[in-house]
Order: sequence, then structure tokens, then C-alpha cells
Amino acid sequence: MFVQFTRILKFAFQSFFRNFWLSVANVTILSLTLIVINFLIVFNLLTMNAIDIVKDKVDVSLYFKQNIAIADIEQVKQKISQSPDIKSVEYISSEQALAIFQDRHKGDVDISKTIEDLKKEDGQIFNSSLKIKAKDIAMYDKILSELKSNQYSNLFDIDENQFRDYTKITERLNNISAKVELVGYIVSLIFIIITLTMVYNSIKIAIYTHRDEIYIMKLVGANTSFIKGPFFIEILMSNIIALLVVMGIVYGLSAIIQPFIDKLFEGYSVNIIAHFNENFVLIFFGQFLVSSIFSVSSSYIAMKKYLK
Amino acid sequence: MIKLTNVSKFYSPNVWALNKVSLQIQAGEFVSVVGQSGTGKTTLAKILFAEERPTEGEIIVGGWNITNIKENDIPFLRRQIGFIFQDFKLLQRKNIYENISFAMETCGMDAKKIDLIVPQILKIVGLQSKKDAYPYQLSGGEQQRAAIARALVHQPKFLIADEPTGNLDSINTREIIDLLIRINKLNTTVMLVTHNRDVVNGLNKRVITFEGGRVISDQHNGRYIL
Repeated sequence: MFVQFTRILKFAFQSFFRNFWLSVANVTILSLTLIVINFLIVFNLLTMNAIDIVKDKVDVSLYFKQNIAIADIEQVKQKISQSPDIKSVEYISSEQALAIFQDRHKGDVDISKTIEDLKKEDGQIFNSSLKIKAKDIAMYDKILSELKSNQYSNLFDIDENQFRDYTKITERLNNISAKVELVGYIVSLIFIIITLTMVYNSIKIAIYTHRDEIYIMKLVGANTSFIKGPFFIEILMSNIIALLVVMGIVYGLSAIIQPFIDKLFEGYSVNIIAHFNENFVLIFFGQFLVSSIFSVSSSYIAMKKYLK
Repeated sequence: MIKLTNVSKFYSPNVWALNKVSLQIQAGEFVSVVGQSGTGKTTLAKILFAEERPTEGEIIVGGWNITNIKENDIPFLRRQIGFIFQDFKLLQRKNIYENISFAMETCGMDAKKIDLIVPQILKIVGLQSKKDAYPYQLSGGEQQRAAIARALVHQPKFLIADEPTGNLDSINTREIIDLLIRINKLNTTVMLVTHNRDVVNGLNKRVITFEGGRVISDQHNGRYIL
């Protein structure tokens, strides 16, 4: 058994290197297919992160009318927090709101002057507010209608503009992502078809090249598995080499584009290499498994037809 | 050893290669199968070798009914039967030693056994000194001897030679026939498919004559009668 296996390996290696350029063509087309799939993985990672970041920014603010007692605000906060759809409710006092505004416009002389003037006229420039975040972006409509019908709704005004803007951005991102993914799937499918055709034809050529050896093998009573084995091993070798090539390209390109990603997602941690490392087995072993199943099936069909 | 009962091979209702052929070949016999081209001789050889399937009838080789042999069992049948052709079918990129050892390698024989058996077989066919030569460096007779050596690697009980002298001159033909006789004396049944009248008449062994896919004559110590 071991002797048979080592000979199958030997014949597979011989055939791989004797038909070197055919093997190179196989590896290239398998690599291209895997590159397209990995591009989709990276694209998916980036769009998912972008959408999460936008979703994280979405909130609804309740601005309390002036001179509402803090106890009432606390009661409203407590009431809203009880809803299972709410992730967090943050109280921002009028002083905190002013401090945030001043910090944001630090160094702007005109704004500082206006604030000072307003302070002299009227002690309270900003109203106290509650910043509400939902567990899921889809829940905001329900939360808004609940707030509007709340028994305390006469105490506050609802600012839902920010929520509406971010919802539009999220929808747009989802649309772009879906379109690019669709194109990606179509390109992947085209590459998979090309790969299957290529593998099928290369096996056909390999069988033709080895027709004399195959005939002699059959003549002297070699097992079918021994005759077919080298072709399967050869195509698995192409898959392994293609995977190594693609891993090199993926990690190389990821290292090059990571600084741009860091800039794009400033303040958030989006690391492509870390993503590939964390999901290494799933991504690369999965790709190897799927591409091997496809190419070995294609080889099997070619052998069934041409090895008679 | 070999028993065919009413074996036919039809390609269409009106086109046949064999038509109700029945014959028996005993172990250790040397049988010549003769007939003009297209009379079914090669089809008979191919059926015995399971390269073709009969349309009807029964075939028993060494007590094994191979009429409906399964694909997976064909290699085991072929390891019991040696086969040689008119055109030798040697691998041009391998030398003589490699041509013979390749046949053993593909059947899973271990390297030590191969190193032991190949020189012995080369000695039997008289090619010890040519083991490193490539087929194109040998004469037709030497190439056929190499092909016989390859057919002998599994020490077959039955050797089928399909027109083995078809491409050879008279001297090489004589050498090959002498070699087949020697192999037969080592207790291997030999079936020689030929239409070479001189070879058949010189053998003075059993002759089965085919015509139109049928056996028209089966004579012990026979002669070429067509």
C-alpha cells in the first residue's frame, strides 16, 4: 500500500514537471479564482466595518424644554431605559452640551464671543438632552413612535434628523455593498467555470501525453486507482501551490493597503491581516477544500471520458 | 485452462467478429490461431484479455468465469495473462530495464523484488547486455524480446502473442518463435495469433483456423490450411 502510494506520488511529480507549462497555466487560473474570492472577503470585511461604524453613530436625541426639573428628566430616562430595544440612554446636561460645543469650536473667536454674549443675555444656551441608542438600527422607527406617544412627550422635542441621515448612508452602503458583491459573485462564477474547463482540458492533455504509459499500465494489470491516482495528486499539487501563491499575494497586498485602511477608519480598529489570521483555517483551508473538490471532480469527469 | 462456449461478438446484427465459437485450450499447450485478416483472431485475443466483452456465450480462464467480469477485477485477470503485440508497445522514453520494471512498479511490486526479477527475465529473453538501451536503439527482434520480457514479469500462466512476428524478418521471426517455445516448455500456455504460414507449419503444434468469425478447423499437429 505504502509502495503504491509513494509511486503514485512519484508519477504525479514527474507528470507535473514534465508538463511544466500546463501545470503553470493550471496554477495561474486556480490562483486567479482564489484571488477574486479573497478580494470579496476583504471587500466584505471593509463594507461590514463601514456599516457598523455608521450604525454606531446613529442615535436619537430628546431635547428637554427649558426649566424641566432634573427629577423629571431622570424619570423619563428610567422609563425609556426599560424598553428591551434600547441599548443605552445618556443624559447630557445643558452645561455638558455647552462644554462639548466649546471644545468642538475651540479657537474660533467669533463663536466664543457669540457664546459669551448669549450667556450674558440668557443663562442657558443649550437644553438638557437624552441621547438614545437602539440595539438595532431597524428598531429606531418603533422607538420614535413610542417616544412620540410617551406620557412625558410634552417635556421634550425629538431630533431625528441625525438618525434619518445615517439611515440613508447605511442604506447606500448596503446598496453599494450588495452590487459589488453581486459583481464579485458573477466574476467568481466565471473564474470557477474557466478553472473547471481548464482543469478538464489539462487532464485530457495529460492523459493524451501519457497514453502509452496508461495503456501499458492497463495491459500489465495496474489497478484503476493507481492509474488515476497521479492525475488527482497532480491537480491537488496545483491547488496547494495556487493556495500558497494566493496567501503570499493576500498577505503582501494586505500589508501594503493596511495604512490606507487605518486612515480611512481612523479611530476604529479594522485590521485585514488580523482578520485573515483569526480566520486562517476557515478562509484558506475552506478555499483549498472547495477548489480541490471542484477541480478533482472536473478531473474525475475527464478521466471517466478519456481513460477508457 | 481456457474454455469458450458459444462465444459471439456482434457489432451490429449483421456485423460480427466471432460467431458461436467454442473451444478449449489445456494448460501447457502451444496453440496457433490462424486465419486471414478480419476473421476474428484478434477479437478472440482481446476477449480473453477482457479488452472486449462478448455479446453472448461463456468464457472461463483458469477456472474463472470472466464472461461478465467486473471492471475492478480486470487487473487481477491481466496479471495472470501476458500479452505481446506486433508493434511491441514499448515506452520510447524508458530504457529496456525501465520498460520491464515499470510494468512491475505499476502493480505495486516492491523495489527489491523488481531488482531481483528483472535481470532473470532479461536473461531468459537474452537481453542482459541491452538493459540500458532505449527501444529505438534495438532491432525489431530485440524489441519484441523486450516486450516478451515485460509480458513475463508476473510469471503468467497464459501468454497471448498477437502477430508477434508481423514486423520482423525471417531470422528475428525464428528467434521469437524459439523464445515462445522455450517459454511454453517452462509450463506457460501460449496462444500464437498469426497468419504466417511458414511459422505455423514449422511448429507442428495445435492449429485452430478461423474464417468469418467461426472455427473451421482445429487440428493437433496441424498445418496452415487456408
